[in-house]
Amino acid sequence: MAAMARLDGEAAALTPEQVDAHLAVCDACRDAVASLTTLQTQLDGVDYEHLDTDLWPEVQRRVAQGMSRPGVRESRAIIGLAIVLGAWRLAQLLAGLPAPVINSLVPLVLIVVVLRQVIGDPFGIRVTPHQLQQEGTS
Amino acid sequence: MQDVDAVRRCRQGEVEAFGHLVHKYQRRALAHARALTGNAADAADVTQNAFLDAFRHLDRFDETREFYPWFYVLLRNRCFKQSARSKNATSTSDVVEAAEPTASSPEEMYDVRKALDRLDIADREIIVLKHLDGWTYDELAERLEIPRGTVMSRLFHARQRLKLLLSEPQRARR
Repeated sequence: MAAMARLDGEAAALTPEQVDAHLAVCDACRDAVASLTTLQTQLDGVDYEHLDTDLWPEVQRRVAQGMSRPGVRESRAIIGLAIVLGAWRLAQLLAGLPAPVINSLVPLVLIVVVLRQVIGDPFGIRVTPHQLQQEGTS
Repeated sequence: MQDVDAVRRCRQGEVEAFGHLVHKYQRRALAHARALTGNAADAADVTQNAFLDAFRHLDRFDETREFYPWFYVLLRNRCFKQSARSKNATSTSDVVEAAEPTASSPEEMYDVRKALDRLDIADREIIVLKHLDGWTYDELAERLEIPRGTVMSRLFHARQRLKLLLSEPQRARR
């Protein structure tokens, strides 16, 4: 390991003198270093296979596609909301729920909760960093 | 345009700014992906998907750091997934066939490339990043999120396996 680190030009636990002293008496390590040096030389001759493909047109198309339609999570949240509201309304009709305040509040709370999940705080005022920067300079 | 400016503009909704990052890094990313996946078609697919991942997760990017090392983590995740998917579907000989020698490549270089393609993806990655990219042990440790000692042992064993493959050239050429 120390000899490998040295060949890689990295600091190792042993000093170069200690590595040399060991290599002078150990045939196995000397052979290992020789074979590693050969491998390094072979690898130095290899370059990346460069591919000249312009990925931007396809990435741009898919980004635009992704932005124009809601994500899976958002779609599921909206479908879930529709199912719950439908079930709530059905329960109202079937059971004839008498409490009008609750009847109005439950769907409203559900809508707010789902909107909060999908688009963030529906009552919040959003300022982008760019707008903040403009405010600061003006 | 600086990378950090491009990232900020993307976050403000300017999709075109992301083009700067794609154009700047696609060649390097494709080369990495080619080396990791073992073939050009998979490399293009995973690199494209990794750029889409990057776009979707730009809010997680720390602007004080460099873009490519952050992107590389997304790219390597895609490469490892692709490699696992095609492990059974693609035979070794297909991968070797994909790496045709160029007219200027010496035979030895071709053998090394073929042997690299036959290595396990984790072994291939560490050798490629060390030898072709010249990353130091510390850089490898930081970017692959492993201890420096693990970098050394993984590199050691990967080289041993590569040497073994190179010592069987007739098998590699089959």
